[in-house]
Amino acid sequence: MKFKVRIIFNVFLLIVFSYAIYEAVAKMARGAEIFPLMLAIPGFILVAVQLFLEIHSRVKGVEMRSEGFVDLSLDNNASDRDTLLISGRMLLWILCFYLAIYIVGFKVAVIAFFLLYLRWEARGRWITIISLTGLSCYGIFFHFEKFMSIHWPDSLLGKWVNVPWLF
Amino acid sequence: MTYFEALSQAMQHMLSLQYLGALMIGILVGAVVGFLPGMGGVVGVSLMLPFIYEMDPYLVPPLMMGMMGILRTIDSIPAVMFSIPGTAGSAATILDGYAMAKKGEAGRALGAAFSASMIGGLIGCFALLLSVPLARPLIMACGSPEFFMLSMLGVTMVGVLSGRRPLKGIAVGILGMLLATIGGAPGVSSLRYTFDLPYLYNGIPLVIMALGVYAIPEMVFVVVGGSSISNVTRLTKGAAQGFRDTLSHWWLVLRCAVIGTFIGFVPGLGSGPANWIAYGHAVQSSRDAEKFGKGDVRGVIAPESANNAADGAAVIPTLLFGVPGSPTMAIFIGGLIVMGINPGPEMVTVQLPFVFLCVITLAFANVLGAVLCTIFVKPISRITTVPIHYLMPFLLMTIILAAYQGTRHWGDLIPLLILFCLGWTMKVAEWPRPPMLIGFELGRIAERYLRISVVRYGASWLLNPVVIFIGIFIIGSFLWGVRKQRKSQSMEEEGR
Repeated sequence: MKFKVRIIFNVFLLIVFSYAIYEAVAKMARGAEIFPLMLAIPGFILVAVQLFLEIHSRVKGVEMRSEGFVDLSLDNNASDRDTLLISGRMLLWILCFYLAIYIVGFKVAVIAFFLLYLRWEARGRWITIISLTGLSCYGIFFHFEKFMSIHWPDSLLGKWVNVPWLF
Repeated sequence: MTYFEALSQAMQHMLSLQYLGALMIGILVGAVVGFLPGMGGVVGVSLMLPFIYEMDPYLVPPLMMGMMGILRTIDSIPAVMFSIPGTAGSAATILDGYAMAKKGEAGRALGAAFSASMIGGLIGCFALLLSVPLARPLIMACGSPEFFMLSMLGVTMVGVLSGRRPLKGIAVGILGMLLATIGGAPGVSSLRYTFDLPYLYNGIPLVIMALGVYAIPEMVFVVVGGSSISNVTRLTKGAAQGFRDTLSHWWLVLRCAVIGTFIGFVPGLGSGPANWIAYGHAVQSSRDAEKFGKGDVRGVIAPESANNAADGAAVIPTLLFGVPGSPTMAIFIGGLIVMGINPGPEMVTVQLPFVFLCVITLAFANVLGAVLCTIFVKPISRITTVPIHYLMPFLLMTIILAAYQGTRHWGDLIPLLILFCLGWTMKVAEWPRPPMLIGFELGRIAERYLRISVVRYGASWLLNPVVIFIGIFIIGSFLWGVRKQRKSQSMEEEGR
């Protein structure tokens, strides 16, 4: 999987840098394009060289090891399939959380997210689930909103039901 | 007024009860803001700004400096425990701090982080104290061309030092800088890469970048691993070991604190770039560089010494020239002006006691912050043994809240998701993420200095000797990186 992902990512970067050059040349006002061009052209060249090296190594049958010491290393033993599946599931949870925030508002969404996630993913006991959800409620109702003055935008439900402290 | 008279006046203020009260409030706010990922000093100072209008000006240093003093110490807790940088200044701490937490050495990592922060902070304050008479000619000697070249050097260095493939490091550093150009162009009426989306007119906030590229992918990969943050059930080595580590690497602490101090001097940079550059220096100067990123305590000590030192040093251009050393300082200046204190040359004459009060308070807050954090290090470390599924909802809620703090716009959540996908792919494809973050942070600063240089000097700034010297250094670093990559490639081919 890694080789495929590397090639896809290289191609993606080439597209990003190409678009950056195109927009800088075609759409930007005079003076605004200097810095983006200064970056996008060498960026494109470097990524093209890297792509060539990746393919060249593959053709020669050499595995390119690029584990770096300036990033966190991947050290779990999960298979590629599991990595993809679990990551996809997490993405789905995040998307559902977003959707819930949009429909019922942040506070209710957090409560629902805690209850559902802790039950389905963590398979926790109800007493643990209720305690942790209660703790999160305390955080969002008394800590974040009051102390940090964080206010969320109106939710879809909040526009129909006039309960401002909840939606 | 002599230095000693000013110093004694400052000490008199420190003995009052109001001073201690204000200091405790500052430390409390700093602790909360520093622990919550993505908040940072800007949010902390902004929170306090409304309260200082009617205050005695001499109570402002304990309030503000107390907050700043503990901020860089406590922000290493979320970095080490959850790989979420509390502020931009602790982003590099994640690399080894989090790896140590995974090995069950969270206590040791935090002990090292707190002690290095304290010593770094004290060195920064000491530099600040010494620099009052010396700083002016030093800062005046550097202009926008030099600052621009220093920014480019920062990105090149971090890129080159990002493992066996420096070309990848530099390319993503450039990508980060390019992402920083999203939004309005400085000095020109033109929008860039906004796709007609109003949210992008002001660019992507740094906090979204850090959370999207780092925090969420790391959280997801811990879930993929399926256990707790720490891979072992019993925590070994506590804060005392971390303190001993810091003392045994005193030379590294000193070097990185000096690096942090110099970066803190440069207006606009602050502790964000300081921690990365110090980390890069630690990697470059070690004989066993391959240990970094896998839980080497030096990878915690280096950035933590630098970020606190940078904060102390950032006070110098702020107070003496009215040029903010960091975004936090920019808001701090606003507060001072409201109270009738004008940063500038008068700070070394009539307002000298005020300057000394700021310095001593910052030093005091650094020590107090480290002590308070150390007291609570043991219970905090235990969080790493909790199964990740129980922590995940809290982390996700905090990340989304922190992201929403970016601009308090629904739009904050969309780039967060896109950047998560980017960070996840980069991790799987083994492209280093730190150069992208540092590139993003330095991108806007570099472009602003480039613009000023071009407008003010035309093309003649390219002939400036300092610019040429830094330029040669950048090219040399790049060529060294290319050579390193070729060498590693030929080794792989031989070992086929």
